[in-house]
Amino acid sequence: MKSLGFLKKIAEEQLPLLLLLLLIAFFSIFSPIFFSFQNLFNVIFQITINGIMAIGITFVMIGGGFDLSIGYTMALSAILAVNLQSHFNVFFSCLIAIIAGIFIGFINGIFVTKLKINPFIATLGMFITLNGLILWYTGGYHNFPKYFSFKYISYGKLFYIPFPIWIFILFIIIAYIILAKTKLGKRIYAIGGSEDICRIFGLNVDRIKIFTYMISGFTAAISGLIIASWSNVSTPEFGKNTMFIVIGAVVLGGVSLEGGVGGIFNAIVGILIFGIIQNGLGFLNLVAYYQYIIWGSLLLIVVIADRYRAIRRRRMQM
Amino acid sequence: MRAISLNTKRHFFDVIKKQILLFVLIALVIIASLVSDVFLTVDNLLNILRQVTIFGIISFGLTFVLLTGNIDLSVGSIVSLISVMFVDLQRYNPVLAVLACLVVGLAIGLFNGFIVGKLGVNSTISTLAMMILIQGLAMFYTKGYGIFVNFNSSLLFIGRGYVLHIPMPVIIFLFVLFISYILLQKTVLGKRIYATGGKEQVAILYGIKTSNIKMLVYVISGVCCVISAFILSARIGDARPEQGAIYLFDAITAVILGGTSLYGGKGGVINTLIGILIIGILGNFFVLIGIEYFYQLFFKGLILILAVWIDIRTRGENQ
Repeated sequence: MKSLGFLKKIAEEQLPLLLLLLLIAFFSIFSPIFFSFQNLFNVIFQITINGIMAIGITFVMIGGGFDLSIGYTMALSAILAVNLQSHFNVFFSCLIAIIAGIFIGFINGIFVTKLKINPFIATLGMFITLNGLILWYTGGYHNFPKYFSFKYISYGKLFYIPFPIWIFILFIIIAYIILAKTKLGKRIYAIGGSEDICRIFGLNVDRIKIFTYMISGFTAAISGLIIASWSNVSTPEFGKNTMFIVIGAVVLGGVSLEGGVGGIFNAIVGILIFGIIQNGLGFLNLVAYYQYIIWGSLLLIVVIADRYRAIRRRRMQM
Repeated sequence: MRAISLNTKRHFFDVIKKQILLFVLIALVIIASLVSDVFLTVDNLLNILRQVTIFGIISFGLTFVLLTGNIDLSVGSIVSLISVMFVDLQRYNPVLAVLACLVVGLAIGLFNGFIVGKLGVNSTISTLAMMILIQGLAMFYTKGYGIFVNFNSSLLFIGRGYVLHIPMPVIIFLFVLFISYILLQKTVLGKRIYATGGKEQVAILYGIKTSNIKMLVYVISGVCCVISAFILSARIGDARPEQGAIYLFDAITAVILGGTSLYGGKGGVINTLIGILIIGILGNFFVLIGIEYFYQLFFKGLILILAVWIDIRTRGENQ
């Protein structure tokens, strides 16, 4: 009987991981192609884009914040990287794109800390502004990168593994070290847990928060480079649904909306789950509107589950 | 004693805010009539009123939700779903259509209210999820097509009829305004709604069941969406599953611009009315002077951000 209790505990704490395994099993049964090396490889490649962004936004959310603008930050960086190739070389265009992403993160950070605007609203405002900016800059048109070498970013391989996957792994490792092993990481958790107490203790909360938003902008920019390079186009359609997927995935994996809880691996598990669902749904050949219904329901389940977990955490603390 | 003087101070700021907005409204009317000869014509003004009724009624419902400190992002999708349902169900029976739509709207409102009120989930995300889900349901209902139904039912009157030369939608709009005003300003329920949004802990201490209040406002929002959907479908005669989305943006901007605080407890339907009129006139003005759609959106987005920023600043002063 004791061993059953132990199993139950694992089930409760590692629920997202279990869900992931269940999903893999489910789709493997329903589609013979799913469990092939080629397909699983595709899945991993596709999730790097959302995954890198997820790493960034995990920093923000653990710090108690929120960033709705990541989708269009990614889009802006993608568009800049491609369109600027008509004036500059690839390296410089990408550099400007990355700087733009970091800058957007910086602005978000300022809105949230110095102007004290609620993160939802501040980043929503940024989302709307970026949308307008992107539409204005592109005039609604697609564009194609001038240099062939741009494709190298996502198609280049090192030891047969594509660059994006290397970048993804590198970011995971760095992020894990920062969050779990450094003082900065502990401080971010502290701010997410209770910001007021941190201020009382003299912590420079504002600076750290701005830093998290800048990381979020940075990762969004990198993702933008990858997606532009992979699809070889820049289009104002990028990033529309990204924020739901990335945030939903990260929360599902265990990073709480309330802040101070979760870690990189939670985010990764969440992204894997969403990525597999997206991939698996493709095989099931569902019509477009089913996707909305499924994603909407999924998001609902995720937030209700997160709320449930938060209540249980609070009860256990008493 | 101190409580009373704080209250009058807050009331004073609200009055000032109301006056500033009225001033902006009047200024807009003057500028618009100077710039465009067409603006002050009866046709154009009626047009403004007609445009305004759809998102306006939604705004009134949203006012209730915002007053409790929450938000409802699903309103656009609810309008989409209800309008396609309404148009489609005309085939069977107009009365059945109205009843079915009301039931669905109430159910959605209750569901939203349950998640936010009883479960305590963050309203932004849950109503966002509902927005996506309900949009999917609307598209599922029509299986991707727009529904074109030449429904000759008497219900077309809702959208196209006139009563004493006033368009029916405007009558309904004024009716909703009237009921909302009475509900919010003259009943105990209204005071409870303000209390829930203003200082929730205090409201709970006073015995107000804030979770029920929070649930109720979503039901009200749902019903307002249903009414808007009726007017929309009756006016156009068909329904497309994507059409509700644009109304969310105008509705929420109108409410916040009008002075109802996102944090709850401040504002009201008269504030919202001013916000509605400003948005309506601005939109009309942009069309009259021929500004492209992107710029309209961009400008409206800026207004929303500005409105929210003012909201945050005045909240700071009053606390």
